[in-house]
Amino acid sequence: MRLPKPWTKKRGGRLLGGAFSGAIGEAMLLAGLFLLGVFASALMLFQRFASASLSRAAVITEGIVSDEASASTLGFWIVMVLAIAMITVGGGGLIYRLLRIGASDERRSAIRAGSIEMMRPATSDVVPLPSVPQGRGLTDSPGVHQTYRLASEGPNRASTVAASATLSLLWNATWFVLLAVVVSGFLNDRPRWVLTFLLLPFGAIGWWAFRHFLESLKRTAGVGATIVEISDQPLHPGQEYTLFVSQAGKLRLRRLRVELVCEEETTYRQGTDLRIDRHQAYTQILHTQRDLSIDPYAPWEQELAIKLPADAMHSFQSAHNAVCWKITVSGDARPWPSFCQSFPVVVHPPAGPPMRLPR
Amino acid sequence: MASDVQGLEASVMWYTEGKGEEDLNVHYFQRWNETQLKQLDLNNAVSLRCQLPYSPLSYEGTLVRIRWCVRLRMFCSAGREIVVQMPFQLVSDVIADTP
Repeated sequence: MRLPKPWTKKRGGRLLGGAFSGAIGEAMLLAGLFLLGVFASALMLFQRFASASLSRAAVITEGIVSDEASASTLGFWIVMVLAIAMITVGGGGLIYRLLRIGASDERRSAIRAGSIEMMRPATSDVVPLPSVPQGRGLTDSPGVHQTYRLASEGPNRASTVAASATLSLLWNATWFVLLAVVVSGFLNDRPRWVLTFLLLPFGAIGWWAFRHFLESLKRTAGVGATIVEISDQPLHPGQEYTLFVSQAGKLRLRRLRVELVCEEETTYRQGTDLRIDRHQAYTQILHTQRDLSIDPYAPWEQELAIKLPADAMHSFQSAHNAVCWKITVSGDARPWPSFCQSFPVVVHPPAGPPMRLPR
Repeated sequence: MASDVQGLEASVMWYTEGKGEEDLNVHYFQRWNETQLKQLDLNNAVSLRCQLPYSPLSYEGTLVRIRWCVRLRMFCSAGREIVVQMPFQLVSDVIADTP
């Protein structure tokens, strides 16, 4: 492992240290700033308002908050402004950092611009096939290596990270507020022992929540984007297509597999529960590779041929039943957990009305 | 028997079978009321004509099965109903031509 040397001159596109560890470090710094701001503001507010209700005068120990800072109005507001600035910079920076995960430069640019020019088939070209998903969004995204880039389905990794970040920050912010109350109690010679001991299990939960946030952040940053592009859409039974698959990230994989899957999906009620059952009716392994390493600067890329069986059932969608086709990219990754990304495709019946597509 | 029939419905439709709840969709529907039935000679065959859609094709899956049928529902006196259906397969002509 090469250690970063901050005193050497950076040349070309090299980075000092990894982008991955940089993202983790930045997230930890911003989270720490946010929590420090919460702690400082809570301590100041408690000292100013809660201690006024105490009969005894406030005795403030040196080294935490000075006498002048909490006693004078000016000092109070200076510390409060600094604390709010830390909360704003830490919280806002963390949100901004999380928004940048899992979004390409082009997508971020489109989000900033507020609109993007989409490539859509003309309305007149779309011939309705009853109970076959229209898949209007399937041809929205042009590919780089093949005609169309497929959209993935399933849980959004960025939203998982955002949820764990929110839980961690809210819990730990509450913990720091309670810590401020406890510290303030000790400073005023009125220790709150019950609350002090409660801080230990609360702190353990906070530490678990923070570690969970860091784990999900590392997972998201480590397992990079999966890109699947296809030569034509929608698919027709018996036809051949070309598939381009790319897996980015910084990880070692025990196995990477690309499959074409036809899945039956059915919804039914069992008592008051609504259940969904799935069954893989057809599986075609397109590619399997064992023991491969993926570098952040050299994603794994492969071009594959795909042929649908001549008697393949077309995609079907009704209120409670469906037949779905998709491309799945799954990997057994170390040290990250295994992942599986699904990219739905639409298969039309073999014979149908003529349909002209824009590309 | 014919005098008992107060109404008749004919449907060309598909429905699902399997583990999940049933879905159905009527592609063609015709109804004869009592007056129209009197003019219709039920002793002779009555033909129905409709153009079938390209989808959904008949399907025999594990969790989902798609069946096509012509369903006749006769409304008799005293609220009795008699349902008769004749299943058929809707397949693509490309698949049918494949040896």
